Amino acid sequence: MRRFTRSALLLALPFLLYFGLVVITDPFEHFGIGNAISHAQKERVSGRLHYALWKSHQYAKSPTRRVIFGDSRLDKLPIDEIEALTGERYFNFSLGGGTVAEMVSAFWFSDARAQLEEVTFGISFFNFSANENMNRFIEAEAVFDDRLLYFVNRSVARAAGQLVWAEITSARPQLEHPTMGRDEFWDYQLRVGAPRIYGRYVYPEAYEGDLQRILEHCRMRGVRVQFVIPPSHVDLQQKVAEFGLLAEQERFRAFLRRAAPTIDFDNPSELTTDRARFGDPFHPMAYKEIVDEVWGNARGLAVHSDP
Amino acid sequence: MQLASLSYLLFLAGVSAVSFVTPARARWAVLLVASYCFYALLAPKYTLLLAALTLISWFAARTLAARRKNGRAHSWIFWLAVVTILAPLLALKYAPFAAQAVARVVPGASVEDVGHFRFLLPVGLSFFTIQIVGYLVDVHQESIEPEKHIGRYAAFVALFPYVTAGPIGRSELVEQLRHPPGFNYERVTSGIKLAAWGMFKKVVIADRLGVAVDNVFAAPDNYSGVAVAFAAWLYLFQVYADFSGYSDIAIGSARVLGIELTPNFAQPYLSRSVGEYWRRWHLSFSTWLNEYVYFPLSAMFRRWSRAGAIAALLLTFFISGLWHGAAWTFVVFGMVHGVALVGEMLTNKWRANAERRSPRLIRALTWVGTLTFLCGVDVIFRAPNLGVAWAVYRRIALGLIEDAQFLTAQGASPGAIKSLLVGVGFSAEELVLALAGIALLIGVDVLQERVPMSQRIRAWPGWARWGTYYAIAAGILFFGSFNRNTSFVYYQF
Repeated sequence: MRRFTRSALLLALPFLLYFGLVVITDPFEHFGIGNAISHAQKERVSGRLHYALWKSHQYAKSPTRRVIFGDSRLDKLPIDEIEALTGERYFNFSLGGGTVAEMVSAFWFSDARAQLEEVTFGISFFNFSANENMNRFIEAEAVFDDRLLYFVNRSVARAAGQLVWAEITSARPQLEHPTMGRDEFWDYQLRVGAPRIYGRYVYPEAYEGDLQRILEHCRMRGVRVQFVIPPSHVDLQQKVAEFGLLAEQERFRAFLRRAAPTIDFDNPSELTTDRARFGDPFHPMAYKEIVDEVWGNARGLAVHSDP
Repeated sequence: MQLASLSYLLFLAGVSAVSFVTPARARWAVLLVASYCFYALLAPKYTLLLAALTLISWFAARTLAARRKNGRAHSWIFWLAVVTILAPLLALKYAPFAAQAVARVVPGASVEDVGHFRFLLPVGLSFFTIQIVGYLVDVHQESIEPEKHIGRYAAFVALFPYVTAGPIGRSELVEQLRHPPGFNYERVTSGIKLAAWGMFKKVVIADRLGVAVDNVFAAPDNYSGVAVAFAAWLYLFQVYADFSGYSDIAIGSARVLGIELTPNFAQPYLSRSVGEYWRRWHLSFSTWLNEYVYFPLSAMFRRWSRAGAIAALLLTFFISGLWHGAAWTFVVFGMVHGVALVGEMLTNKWRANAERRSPRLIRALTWVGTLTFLCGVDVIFRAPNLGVAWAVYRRIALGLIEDAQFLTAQGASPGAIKSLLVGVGFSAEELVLALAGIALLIGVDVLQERVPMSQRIRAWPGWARWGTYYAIAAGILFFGSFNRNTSFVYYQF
């Protein structure tokens, strides 16, 4: 029996040491104890390694009544400007590479933690596809429900390692390096990105149902809902016709317009024809103009419609 | 409580500890109490059913033996007991299916409210029912003496490592329960290692593959032909990793407790014929079918010579399909396997001659052909109904043509190729892990084919052995798909 105990301890030891490291570094601020590593450093590392895990922890710590759900196009909206314009606190639950499935999960996650007043969904046509079904929130919620999973989550392990490395070497972690020049990447997104998303487009009946349930829930609770269709460059807009998806796109727009106030930036406009105001065909850089049009009084870049 | 869970690990550790400090003559009691607690946690309402079937079969076996000894008629007791033991299975599992089938053909009959009975099926019922039937047959045929001790017999029926999904306990197991051994380092660690490998197969490989399979089978028409064909292949490996993983956990757990169960798999995906596959897959069930269904049927149909053998085979596979589930998918699944075996039986000589002429080529072709056949038939096994199975086949056939046209139009760019797998639920990292998992699964089987892995690992130097243990433990902890609530595939049966 002694031999068995010794072997079991030998096997468990590295894992116990690692679990200790997770408690000390607490990369996603799950335990909220200790401050061995600064919040800013954790945001730089953990916030980029697993958007959903990071944001769900941050939201759970300090829930707000006004929340924005979307993908990378809305992720970079300046929250302070929105708060200055409206005088209200906002939380941006948008995730890089976000899908409608994730927005739906994030909504219910927020709804369970705050008395919501206003929710904004930023949904692009290419997001609104049955095949865009990744949901990182399942993992984030599982970690919330079962603390043991926090210890064995790969993103937590990676973040813990990178945080320790950054502390030891005093290096600023670089997680997202551009690997191509701007023009090359622009071309790549049209050549590779567009066929990837439009090549197998399937209209998502299930997402319509998911959003209808949210709308019904919000109507009963008096929560204001609005949709934003973020801008994409006209080079990308043209791909919708190239892949023969104009009818599906119109169906998508009509669904949103019928459901709630909709601010549609994804049309040929002064903004979407200006390549200089885009990082790539998918990502606008005119965040302040978008904020002014959605939360302020500016008009002209988007088509506004009410049901 | 799932076998692939931390709670099960703690449960097993607790039961083992109590068992080891209990005197050998009373260990059966520890196992019995633990097994009933385990089953009560899974299906509290049906614990009484398990106990009732145990009592009935124990009493029947004892009465049967006693009457035989006294030279009195006893066959009717055997048949009465078998019918009584099968009754709950027939009522809970097959009555709704039969009612639905009748309702479909009888005009005006309603099929509503029939389907919900399926959810009432107690976990493990199919397994412990046929285990009990096997025991009764053995007693009836005088292969074994009936167990006198009701407690030990109850432990044999309900032993927690196998009560939910096998391996189906053979009657000889009762003997092992008389004096389960105490702690032994080699045996206990061997059991833990086997269970850990089973856990690895379940949570790292099967559950990972299951993500893509579930997505695609939920709506095959949403996916490209490549994606659907890919998911069909993934399912082939998912079901193996899942069920063999479960079996390894069950066999490993029992070994820790001092009970040696028969292996359930013998590298089935290295088979080069469907017949060989059934000699390597779900061994406890195929052996049971052989002994208690196929051989008696063959004897019964002996006078019809080859036609009799074919009838026995088809009937056995019909029963095998139906045992898996009360649905047309399983009936068709069983029958397709049966027909394939008949085909092999009829072409035996021709195939042997072909293999003699060019052994390597034929071996490679028969291996690929067998795997492809299994992949195709497993689509029926996985699909919730025949309509979905048909949709999968149709999508593969038509989709692959569409995909070729699409790639021709798009110039086979990386984006176009990636788009064919869009929505299956794999990131690039997950895809690599899934393929690596399959390679590992088959790689271990190839090595195992010649020398058992446990024997190989024992011969390795300490650093390599411990490196493997750490890798498996880390793999389970950090690469396991713990975020989804997944059950074992064979729990549904």
